[in-house]
Amino acid sequence: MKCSRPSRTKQRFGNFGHRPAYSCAKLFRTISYPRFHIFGLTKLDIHSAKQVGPRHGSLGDFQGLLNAIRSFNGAKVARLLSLDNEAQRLAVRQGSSPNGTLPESALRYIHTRTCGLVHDCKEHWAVVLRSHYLCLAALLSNNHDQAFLHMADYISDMNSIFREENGAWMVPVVTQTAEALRLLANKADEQLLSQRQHQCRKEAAGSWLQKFYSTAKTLKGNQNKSMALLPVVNTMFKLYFKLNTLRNCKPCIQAVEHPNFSFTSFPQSERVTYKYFAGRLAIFQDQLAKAEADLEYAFNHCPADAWHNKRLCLYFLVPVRLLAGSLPSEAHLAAFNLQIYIPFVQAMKSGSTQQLAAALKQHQVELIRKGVYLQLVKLQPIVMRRLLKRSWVINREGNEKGHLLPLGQLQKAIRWQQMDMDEDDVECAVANLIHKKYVKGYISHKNQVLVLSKADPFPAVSAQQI
Amino acid sequence: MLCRSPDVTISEPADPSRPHPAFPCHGGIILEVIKTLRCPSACSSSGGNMQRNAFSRTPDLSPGMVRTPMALGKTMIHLASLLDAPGTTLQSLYIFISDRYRAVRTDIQAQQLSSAETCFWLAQQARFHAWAQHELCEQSEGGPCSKAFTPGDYTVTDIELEAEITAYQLLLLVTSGMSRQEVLGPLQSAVLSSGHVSIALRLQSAFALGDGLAYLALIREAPYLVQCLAHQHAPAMRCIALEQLAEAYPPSRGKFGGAMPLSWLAHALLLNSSQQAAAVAVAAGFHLDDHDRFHAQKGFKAADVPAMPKEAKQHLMVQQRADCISRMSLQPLSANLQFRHPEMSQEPEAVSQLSRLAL
Repeated sequence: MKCSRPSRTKQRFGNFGHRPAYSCAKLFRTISYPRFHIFGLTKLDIHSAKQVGPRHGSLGDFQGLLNAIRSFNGAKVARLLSLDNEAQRLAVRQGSSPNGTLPESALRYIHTRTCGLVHDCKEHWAVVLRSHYLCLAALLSNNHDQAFLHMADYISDMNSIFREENGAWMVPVVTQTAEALRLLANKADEQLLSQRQHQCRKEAAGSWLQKFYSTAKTLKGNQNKSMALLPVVNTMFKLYFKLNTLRNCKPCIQAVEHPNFSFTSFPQSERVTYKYFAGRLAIFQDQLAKAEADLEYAFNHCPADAWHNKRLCLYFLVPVRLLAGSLPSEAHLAAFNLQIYIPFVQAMKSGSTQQLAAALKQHQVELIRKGVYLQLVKLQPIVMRRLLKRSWVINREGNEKGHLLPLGQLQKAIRWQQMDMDEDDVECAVANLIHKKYVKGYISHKNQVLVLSKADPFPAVSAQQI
Repeated sequence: MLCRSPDVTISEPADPSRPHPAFPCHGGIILEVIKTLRCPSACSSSGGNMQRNAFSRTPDLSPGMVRTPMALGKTMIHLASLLDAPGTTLQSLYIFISDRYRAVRTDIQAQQLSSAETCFWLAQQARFHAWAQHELCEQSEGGPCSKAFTPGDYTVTDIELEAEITAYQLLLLVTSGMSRQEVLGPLQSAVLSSGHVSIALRLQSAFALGDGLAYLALIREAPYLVQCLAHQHAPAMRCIALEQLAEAYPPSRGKFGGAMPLSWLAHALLLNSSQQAAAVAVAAGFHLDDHDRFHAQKGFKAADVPAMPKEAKQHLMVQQRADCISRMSLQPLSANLQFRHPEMSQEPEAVSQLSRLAL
């Protein structure tokens, strides 16, 4: 007798065609799966599922991940693909072997389930998810190098998904993967260093990040995908600064500072990070006005409680401000643990060339490594100007011709500070001050006298262009 | 390259006094035997990783496959002796020697050699290129190859030598802040605080400040090879120095005016003679009087005058040059070399003095 409605089995599990519904229902009742969709499974898939069955929990919320992909939920996909997701880590740790591998059945299951998605990029997703779980398993066994290699295996596929998918839902996934790739490359290189091998993972990570960068930059038709550009650029900056390949940063800056780029539409954290690195690069290129603007932006837009980030911004902003003639207070420097600059401020206030030279020598290594050494060396004319001004003040007391300053007097003042400069050196230094407009006047070579202007002989340093 | 090495006579020690047997010509210059390459993959190999993987820490010391350190040492001595080869120009010698030096560096890199001897060879190559930078500055605008100054994958274990090579590298990068930071960033503290790096940084800061007078004064005090490299920017810095003088010194009026001696100008601008200083002063629009003195004129701008030509020989540097040649362990330059200081050609005793400098 034909039923008017489908049997319970058919209601629950659908129609299997030639297979008796009862045997399939019995089969699936033996497997403790959560809700799943079994439409289209083959014999092999059912066999695999039976093999993996007790270990399905080793993949964590794998179904949730598939659902998020199906529903284009980028935030959830990023969260579940995060290497720091504790629930996923716990599940994989339980299912993986001690040497950091997953059973073949689990990998087949991942492949099968992912290919069962109704999705245009399911093949790419299959590679991504498979390699992600292998990466996680290797990471949990502290094999960072192998974990990096697994992650590198799926970058290309993830980039293809990013490129082919409509909408910007992949942006959180891409930005999170880029950052994870960078961190993993650092750890992998540390591991290789401990094994006395050649460290090359960071360089490889840079090449992989270029793929994301190129896709985000050159996408046509969907401008929302460019929301991944600034975060990826920031990740690349962090990597290139670590690798010390600073010239690779130039194309990134050109892309971000293009007039059509909507900088303000990005989160504040990304903007601050970008301005910080751009400011540092401007210092290396002697573009001090740009450096000051960028670092000041980064400093002002840091959250109030982000003391460490503010300190980083100030570390590079202070030398630029000193060159502009703007001196910070010692209390302000101490508050941010920047006592390294206090001797420079004191030297500028007192005109002590000796103190400046001593400070440069004492902190030479650190300042060179940070890239601000040459900027601080440029303080020498400013300190010399201050010394000259003090000599002039002393000279003009009770002296009608106070605007005539003998160069020998300046030389004595310099020698008193145990600095060795002969007459020619002093004359050339003063000529440079006049040329730079720090001093108004002229030199009489015959009389060895500096003839100062009677009106404002020492214009403010801040009035000069840095 | 992964190939049979050029035959640089391994079997018996070379006698420097005995002339080499007849070599086949190489571009008209008889300098070295080059055997036919037998390794089929050699021509297509790019070196680098393949060689490193194949030859790193190899126990194979057969001279047929790779040049041993001893062979490389003899090669270095042989190449240094070629500077005295008759009938050749320095430019063609430079092209050949720099190419052979590059091959030595490739062998060092492939075998990952890092002995004190290897460091010395790398330093010698850097010194050679620094010396040639100045000797050939009149011949080519681009200057010699700068790759000799890039340590690359070599390991220089001697701090002093690494500091010296780094200083030369910095002087070549004086105009590029990013490249300078790339060089300085990974160096160890002892190198960063060394005297070599300090003087290179002082020259860079003078250049960055646009202080031509200070830059030329630093060149005057620097060691000879530093002078050779820093001298590439001397013409531009002279223009800036003239601009400084035009701003700082008044025209001749009033009791504070007055002419200044051309000898002083020659000293300040690192010129060869007062006559040369006079020519420079005239080009800058300064006035000369009859007593070898000049009057600065306001309004001169460095951009108004085309960059002055580079000069291969600076009189002030001649004596230091002679000292440097002896210290570099190069063979003395023979009288047949085509590059000679104009003053040296009038003073044959200077040439013979150089010739008497022996290893």
